[in-house]
Amino acid sequence: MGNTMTQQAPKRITNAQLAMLVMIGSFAMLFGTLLLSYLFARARQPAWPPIGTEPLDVRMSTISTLVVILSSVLLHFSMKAFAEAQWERFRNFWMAGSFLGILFMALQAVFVWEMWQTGLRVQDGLYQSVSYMLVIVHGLHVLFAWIPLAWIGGKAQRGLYKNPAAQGPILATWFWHFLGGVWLATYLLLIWY
Amino acid sequence: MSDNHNETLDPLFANHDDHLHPEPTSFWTKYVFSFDHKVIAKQFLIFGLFWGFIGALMSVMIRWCLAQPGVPFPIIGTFLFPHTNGVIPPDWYTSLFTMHGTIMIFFALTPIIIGFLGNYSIPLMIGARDMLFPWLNMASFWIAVVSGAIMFASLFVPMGASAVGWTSYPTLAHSQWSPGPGHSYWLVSLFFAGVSSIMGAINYISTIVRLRAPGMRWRDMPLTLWGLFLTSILNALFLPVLTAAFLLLLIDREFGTTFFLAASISESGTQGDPILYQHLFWIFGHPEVYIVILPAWGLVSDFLSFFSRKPAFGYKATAISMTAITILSALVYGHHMFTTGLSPLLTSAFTTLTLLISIPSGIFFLNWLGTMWKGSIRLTTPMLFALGVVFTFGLGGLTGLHLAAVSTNMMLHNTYFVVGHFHLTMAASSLLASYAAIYFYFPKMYGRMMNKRMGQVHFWLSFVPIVYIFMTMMILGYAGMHRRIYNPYEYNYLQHLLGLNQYIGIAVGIAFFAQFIFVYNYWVSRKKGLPSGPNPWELGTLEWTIPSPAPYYNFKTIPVVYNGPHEFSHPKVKDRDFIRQDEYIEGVSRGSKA
Amino acid sequence: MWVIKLSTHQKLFRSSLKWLVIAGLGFACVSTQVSFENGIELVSAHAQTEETQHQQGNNPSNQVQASGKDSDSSLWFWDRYAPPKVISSYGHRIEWLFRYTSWMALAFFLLMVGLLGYFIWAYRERPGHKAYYTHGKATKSEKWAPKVLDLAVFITLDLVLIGSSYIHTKDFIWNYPQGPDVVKIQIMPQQWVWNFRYAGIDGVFGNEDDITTINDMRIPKDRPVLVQIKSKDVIHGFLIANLRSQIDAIPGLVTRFWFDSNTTGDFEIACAHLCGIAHYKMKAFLKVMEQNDFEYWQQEMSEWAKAAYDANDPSIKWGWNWALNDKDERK
Repeated sequence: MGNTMTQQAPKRITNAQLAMLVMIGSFAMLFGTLLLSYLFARARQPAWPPIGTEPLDVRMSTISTLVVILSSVLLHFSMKAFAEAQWERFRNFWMAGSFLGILFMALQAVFVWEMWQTGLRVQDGLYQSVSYMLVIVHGLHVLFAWIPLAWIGGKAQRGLYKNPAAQGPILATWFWHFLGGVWLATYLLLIWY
Repeated sequence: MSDNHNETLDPLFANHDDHLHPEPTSFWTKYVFSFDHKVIAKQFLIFGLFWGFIGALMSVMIRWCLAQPGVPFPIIGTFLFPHTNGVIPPDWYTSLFTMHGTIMIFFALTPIIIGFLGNYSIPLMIGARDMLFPWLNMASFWIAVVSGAIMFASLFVPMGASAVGWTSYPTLAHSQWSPGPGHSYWLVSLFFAGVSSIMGAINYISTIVRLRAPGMRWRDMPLTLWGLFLTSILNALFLPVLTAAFLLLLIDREFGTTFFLAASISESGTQGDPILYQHLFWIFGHPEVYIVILPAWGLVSDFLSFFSRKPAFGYKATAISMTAITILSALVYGHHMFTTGLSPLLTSAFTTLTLLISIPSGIFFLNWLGTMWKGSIRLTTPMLFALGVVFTFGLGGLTGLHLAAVSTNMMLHNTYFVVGHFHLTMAASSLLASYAAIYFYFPKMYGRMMNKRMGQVHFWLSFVPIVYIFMTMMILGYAGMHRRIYNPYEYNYLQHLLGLNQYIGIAVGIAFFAQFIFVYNYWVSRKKGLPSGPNPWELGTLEWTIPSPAPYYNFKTIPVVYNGPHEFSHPKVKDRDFIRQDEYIEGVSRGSKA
Repeated sequence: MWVIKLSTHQKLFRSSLKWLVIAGLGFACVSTQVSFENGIELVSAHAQTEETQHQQGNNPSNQVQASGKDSDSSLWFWDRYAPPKVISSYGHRIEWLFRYTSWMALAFFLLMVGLLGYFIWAYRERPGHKAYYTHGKATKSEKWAPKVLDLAVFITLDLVLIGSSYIHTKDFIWNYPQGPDVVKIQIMPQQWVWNFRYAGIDGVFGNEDDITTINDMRIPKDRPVLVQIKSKDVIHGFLIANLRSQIDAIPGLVTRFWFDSNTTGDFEIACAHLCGIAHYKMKAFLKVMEQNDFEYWQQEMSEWAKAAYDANDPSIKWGWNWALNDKDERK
């Protein structure tokens, strides 16, 4: 069953993809609100980071940003292979991308642990609260988004994908790309701005 | 997937689902974990009516305090409050009005006017067999149940349920001033409620976009669908803003972050901002009131047409107005914050935008009158309730003008004027529209009619007290009575208002008990009502082309649409005054028969 | 083709509808303009006369009509449930806007209800009458009627509200008084009392001669009172019903508010924003005094405060830098 001719003009996105786009819209509003709140709150502070606090680790966060971008790139190639029914290639890129996903989460965990080690505590103020909140909330969403990646990876390993029209992988990768984009924005606004 | 039309179907893109689900057989798959949108709709209805009863009981208790201060609450008073001999204590009072607002908005109105109405009517009106994502639909209901369970549990936790107002402003909502888990339960419960509504919104949007029957253009949709579609867009976009606000408040409470905690309170120097919360809350909060009312607007536009046997006057203008309001709704939220010291630039901007929104509101409101003008009006029970909405929304909407202007707002903010205003526009209008929808769809659900006489009595015994209650509240607000107070008679200048509060109490009692007429009517008519036949209201929309009660598969064959939804009293059709949407009539319907 | 038979008066009405609407619109615009310009003075003058005829004080059961009739039995509805009398100089303007909006809204509402009732009766379903199929058939004036009526509401009501809001903001809401005549008070509400601080004889906040009171606000008659408010704990609302205005008190943020009083007397201050379980009885008292009495009070209290000043008592050390929050931010 593929994209057969219909009387209506063929649509470019499937029903499930439409639903995923709406869902991404919702999550975009969520993260947008959190990021805008951060900017709003920060605009009212005289100094950022506040005097006496250590700035966040640029090195660690840059590495994790590159890792998550790379994971999206690999998953993108994986989906291209999927669309052309190249199942081996799809599986390999998928596993690589998923693995980088775990690596990203691990690096973020280390990043947060480092924040803790430098003495940052949320009770101490807005800067600390925002830093922990943005990283952890995003990380939890990544964890939830990674579960479908693992599930699909498991199915791919068992060779269960035979139909390029199957929707699961494309939906999972769209959401993953979205979260990667959110992290990029967070990274630029939190670390560099 | 079989295709039995002369068009091949790709179910990935299907604009109608030709696939017949197998019929559910066991009790659990038929009535509990059902994928059928009609069953899920009924589940939402029962859920909403149950919570509506609890919320109404709370409002009775609130009004009792104001009408009979110091008098024990009858029947259940001594059981609930043994330590005060049945008198409702002040701390309970603050929980009562908090939970009343929360429950009515999130657990009564939303499940009924969106969960029940949307789920029941959308697939039937667009000529589909079910929603586009039935599994998502079922998940949406059961997550709502989880949300309700958590909220219910919060009533019994130590130190009581949430008591900070449904708006949950910090810093009162912080742990320091609201100790105990009650408010945290409240936040978690509403998180799940938001998830449920967003899932529903995704489903409604996708279904309306993709699953309309062949030939049904956007302008052939009944206006109820426009209302539900626009509401779903607002739900999908703005509930996450509330989720963000609640998330930040929850971690402030549980993990000690300082997002909304001001410097003078927190130990450190950096300054959180309670006003940030208000911005976030009302960016959601104002679209929320439109979320609750948009389906009602669409429904009333349709019902006035249906029961005036006339096309909806200015269909296009109404659809455009509702869309314009949807877009503008997020830009006016600041009128909830005029007393927080917003700058003149902001207050002027919000006043102007809020008053601009009255233009499209006026258009579709007057189109309602235009629909009735020169019609042939049938005062069926759904029509009575729809007319009630016209009245309450007209009245409530006009009182919004006082609140939109910044100077009168600073006089009336946090008084009963606001309470009267939003109850008329939001509560009364949505409630009456909900009842209209229930009476209307009852025949399709059960194959029987609800009793008309009982419906009329229910209407008048609800409508008149409701209008009286909230009109009087506006008088109280103008007289200076501020809100959320356990005993206004502490203040000398409010003592003479006891009489009005007592009259409101009587009206509340009448309205509360009148709802039991409805419950009785519903319960008994299911088995004993007059058989309705497939189309008791004589309408052309697609749900009335199938038998009553609707079979599990809805449509045996997917209809093809040739006409609009309001083709009444067409001059060329002599034998009846309506045309079915899937009926091709030479010289009347557009196009050619497919 | 079904035709609806119109009686003579209905035909006349239909043909003149267009002109009626235009005339009505014109009349509404003109009267709005005239009353807007003159109304503020007219209404406030009238209201002032009314108020001065009432007994002083805010207890409505003491209000006596100018004719001397007993109040309770002869007060008609609107007097009985009127808000407490206006004491501020700008209260009449807010009151005027409220009344104007109410009357106009009532007029439009009665029109709407009238049409609703008329339509339900005149167009009820009965044999021989068929509904008017409007698709493609409604005449131009029929289609434009709702839009014109909507515009009429917008012009006579919404524009007045927008204009008034702008003017009120510029004239008094955001126009904080300045100069030596201004009485400056810092207010710090907390759960569940109101703290007031005066600068004392030296006119400087934050030193030994500051007067601090609890639930007791005293101001002189006919002098502007500028208030800076910051809450100690949760959000409260500073509401004196006689002023027709209010301001929120927010922790961590200073909000400003000003008012004056044209009569002496005792009035009640309410907390208008939910602040906990005793929110309902968070009451304070405003006493408006003659200028001499106020100065005497201020002198006495300031001297007493200076004498009783205890540098080790933290409870009287609340307050903030007045000048830092006194910027002129008119925009």
